[in-house]
Amino acid sequence: MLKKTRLWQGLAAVMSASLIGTCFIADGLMTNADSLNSYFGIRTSEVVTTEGEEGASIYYESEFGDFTSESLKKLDEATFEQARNEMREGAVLLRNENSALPLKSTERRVTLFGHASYNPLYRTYSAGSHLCEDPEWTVSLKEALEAEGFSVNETLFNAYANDPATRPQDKRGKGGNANNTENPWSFYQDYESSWKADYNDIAIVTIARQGGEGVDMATSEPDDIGSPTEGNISSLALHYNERQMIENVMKAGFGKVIVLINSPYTMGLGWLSEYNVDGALWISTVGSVGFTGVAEILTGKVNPSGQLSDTWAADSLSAPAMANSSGNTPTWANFDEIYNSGIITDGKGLTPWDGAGVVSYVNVQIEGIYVGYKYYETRYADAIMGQGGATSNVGAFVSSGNTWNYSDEVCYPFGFGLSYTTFNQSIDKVSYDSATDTYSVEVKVTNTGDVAGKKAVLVYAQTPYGQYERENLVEKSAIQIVGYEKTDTLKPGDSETVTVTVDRYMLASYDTNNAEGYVLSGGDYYFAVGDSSHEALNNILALRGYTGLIDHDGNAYTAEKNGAKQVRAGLPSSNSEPDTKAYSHSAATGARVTNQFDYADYNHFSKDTGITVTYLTRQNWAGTFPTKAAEVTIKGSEMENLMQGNTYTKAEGAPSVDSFTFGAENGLTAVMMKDVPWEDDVTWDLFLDQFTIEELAMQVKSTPGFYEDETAVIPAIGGGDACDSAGNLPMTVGYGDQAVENTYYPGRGGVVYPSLLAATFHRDIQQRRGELMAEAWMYNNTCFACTGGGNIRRTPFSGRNAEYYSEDSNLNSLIGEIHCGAMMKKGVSGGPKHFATNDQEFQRMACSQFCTEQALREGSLRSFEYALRDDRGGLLYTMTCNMRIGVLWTLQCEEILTNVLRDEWGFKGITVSDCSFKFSPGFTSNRVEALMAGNDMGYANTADFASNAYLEYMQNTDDGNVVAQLRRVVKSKYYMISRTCGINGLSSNMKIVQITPAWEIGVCAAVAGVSLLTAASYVMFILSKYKFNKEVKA
Amino acid sequence: MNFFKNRSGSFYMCLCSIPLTIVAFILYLTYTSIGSMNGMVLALLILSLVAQVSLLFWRNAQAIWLRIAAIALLCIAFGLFVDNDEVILSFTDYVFSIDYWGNAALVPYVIRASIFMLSSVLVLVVSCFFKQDEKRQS
Repeated sequence: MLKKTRLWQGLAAVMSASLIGTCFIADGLMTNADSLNSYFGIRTSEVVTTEGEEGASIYYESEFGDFTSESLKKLDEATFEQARNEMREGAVLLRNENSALPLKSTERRVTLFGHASYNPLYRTYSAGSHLCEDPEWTVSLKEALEAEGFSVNETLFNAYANDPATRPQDKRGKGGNANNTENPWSFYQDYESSWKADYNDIAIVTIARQGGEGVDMATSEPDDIGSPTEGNISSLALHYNERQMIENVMKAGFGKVIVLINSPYTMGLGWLSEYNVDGALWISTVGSVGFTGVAEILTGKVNPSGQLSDTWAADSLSAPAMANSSGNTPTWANFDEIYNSGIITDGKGLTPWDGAGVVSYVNVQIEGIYVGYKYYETRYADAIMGQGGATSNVGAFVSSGNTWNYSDEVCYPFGFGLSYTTFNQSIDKVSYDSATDTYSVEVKVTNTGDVAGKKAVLVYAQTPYGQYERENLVEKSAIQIVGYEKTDTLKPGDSETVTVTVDRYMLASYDTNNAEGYVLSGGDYYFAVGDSSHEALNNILALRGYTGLIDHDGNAYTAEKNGAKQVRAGLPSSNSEPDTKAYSHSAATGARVTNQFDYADYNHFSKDTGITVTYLTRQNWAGTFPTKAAEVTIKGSEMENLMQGNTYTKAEGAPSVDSFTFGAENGLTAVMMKDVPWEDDVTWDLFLDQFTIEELAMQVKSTPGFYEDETAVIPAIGGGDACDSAGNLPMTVGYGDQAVENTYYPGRGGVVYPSLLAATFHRDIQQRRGELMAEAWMYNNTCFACTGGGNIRRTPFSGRNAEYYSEDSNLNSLIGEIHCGAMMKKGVSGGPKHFATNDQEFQRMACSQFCTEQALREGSLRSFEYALRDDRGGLLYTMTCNMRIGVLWTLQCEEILTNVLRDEWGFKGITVSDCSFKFSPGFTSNRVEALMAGNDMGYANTADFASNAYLEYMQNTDDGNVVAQLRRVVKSKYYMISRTCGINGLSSNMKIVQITPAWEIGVCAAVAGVSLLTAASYVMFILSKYKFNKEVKA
Repeated sequence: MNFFKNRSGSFYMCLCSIPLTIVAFILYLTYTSIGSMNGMVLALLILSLVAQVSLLFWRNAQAIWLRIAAIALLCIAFGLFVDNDEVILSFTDYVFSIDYWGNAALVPYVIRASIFMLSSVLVLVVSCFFKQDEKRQS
């Protein structure tokens, strides 16, 4: 009996070990099931034909119904209303002296000044709809005012129509120049009588600025003729004729003078107070019907609730990035020495666009993370705290005295915006949820004024800047926006508590030098609210015990009660080391997040060039503020190779082209892939096996219709047989409203453009814009479309700032997720562009740009992150850009397009170059390199250039890795199409159902079996032991 | 030498398992000097070692449960073996995903420590089939 007991106890031990081992092995197997199935070619799905009527299906339905004139009319109405709402909630009241606004009902006789009041800036001058300027669809300022009961001085208004001069605009072939933009005052004097006797209740002065695609605002241009300064000024400064106009209008006896800032570019606005105008409203680009919202704000029908999504400095040139950007972008310091050397070549380059004209430019983003308010507010904080030499006069542009003074340098801080009422905000409660890794910040908002209104609640954070950060050059903004919400309309005296969700991730900083990843600093963290970023910062500084605080007008500031709160939950304490683990791996994919961009930092090449650049640090404002462009040289083989794009060669051991299956007849159509997960390699491989090698190569050139009525048609998979009822898939890409207007939906709905959309700080409005854009494109059979907003406004001068949301990358990320994510849910993949670093238009075709990895990750990349991350916005399309990161073309930058975008963010869609038909040098000259780096397609590349290049390369090299990459590209393309309205109308009577492979069932059975046997052996052991003991006792 | 008097086979096998576990522990520490450490594994190895040493003194027949516990602790330690950087992976996870997660250069260290850990498990498992030490008669 004893022997039996030993046997059972031995078996119990064996089974215990076996059970533990089996559990671990089963866990490993099941976790890696996809890889194993793929490796062994085990199918996890099968095609089944469903019963019922075969025919077309609509997978993504329009909320406006089928495509009829009636439904289009509804869409029109909804889109126009959206555009009006964007102005109602996005226009920012900058100045309102003595409650000049809203205008009284007796103040309705108006004279309009400035050519922009007749010819305003409706839209950004980039690719996009021209139709919002069509008089048939637009509401002019005059029409909008008249609709609200105003009478407009027709004499002066008609004079604009008959005058050859026009408003200030860009100089690109439009005949404009600085001297004939706004007329001298003598023009107005001819019509003085028209407002002397009448129309003098109100003068409305409209000031506009226009840049656009390929055209930055000028950093230096001659002032108007007659200017006493006789020098050059920036195009964002008020010009002499404009100054004369406003000065004379102020003296002309009008009851009130109201200024409309019709500019998406942040101008220096010190003159508003200098001339003491009564009111000022920022209206950005107005879209086709935005003036209706403007007129409603002027009358008080709408209480303005927009808040600035940028900092408006007194001098737009004072941004630290200005020394190395736009018109100040220098050429390589050794340009003359190496010109025509083969590195920089005029006309002998890879394409004409590679000539010295573009390759010779370089800018070093010395400013690091200090863009927009991150510079101005951080320097202010350091000035208050007495650190880093912040009050030095280095970088002071308009400060009085010999020191840098915040209130002199900044006119209107980020987040600023007046209302016809007043509000009080206080943080009631902050709680952390570790399951979602988010904070809930409860903010109580009370309307303390006399009229009803809405209030955007912007939550800001301050994170620690201590010894660790100083030693490792981890730069920190003294304040950063981390979340926002907007209240409903609050009546006087009413309160609402809004809950703002804040991702803890946004409190982390990228530490390039020590942790080589994101860190949560050890120290004190604060959340704050306020009527601007400056007030929020002041609330934090007051909580920390600092005194001498001033508001943006230079007056003493008294902190709001509960305007700031210290936060400890979920964060390292002040005594802790930084938490380097929290975000060391991507939340989207689990991939390690670590340094990728050594070559983006010029100092990486210092060993070859002998030059070291010093980036701006708050440890030493005076010593590191860039006062002139960095002088850097191009030297050394590493730099030269990267510049020439020598980034790919066939790997040793690369598979043969013949090792892949081509032209198989597996009966899978695109629509059948709509529910097949990305990870199901087996089914995707069967799908991809259907393409011939030529078809694979052709897929990359088959993008999008572009302009006119061109609608690219891509062949569906595998040729006729495999097409089945799917036939060909029509696919066009939208571009702003461009594709839309050229087909049947007129696209006149008046996109007000991203700057105003951001300034609404209204998530529902931002989401609705995305939904309506998707609706319009869906009617146009467009399943993916470029959307604006991806890049940051690194300086006020970038020509395409009008297309971008904000200067702030966190805000861009948050809005992108809402705005573009809404499109994705509707079945149209929006695609923010230009991924990434297209922060200026000047020499954007190949200008080299250097920056720190922290600046790149927290700035340009963060800006796109939430829209493109698989676990957030989940978009499936983005456009790359032509700039260079370091000296490497972005579309050859594997680190951005693959390592970050796909590996870290889990992006599964397609990347398309910027317009590549003849422009994009990186794509047209280094196609294989671009493809292998992760640039999938060429925009508007309707010819066979790229396809032929790939086929020729594969034929010459037998490089199967290129086939594998093409298969990945095609997989991404069909993954996207099959999850958008691109599959609308295709047969649905066949579908793919998931099946569980036998081995997976076997693994589960094994675990169950071993568990049972273990239990049985224990039972037997205990029984035999019991029996043995009984026998011994007996 | 009374300590070794009237000892069963299971006692000597348990005695053998102790140096095996100690070597596994040392190898794991060596591994942590080049990779990342999972403190849980060290704790489990120590606990198992304590159980094994206790078995030398515990002559009660009920010590079989302690023996099984020692085996289980070692098995779990083996399963949690790999702590790749900041992510704790099971051994099988590590092996299956080494291309993606891991540094293949660490594999020899993993294998070496694993061999000693599993040997200790094996010896302890076999000892369970042997007669357990009886409580000493005073």
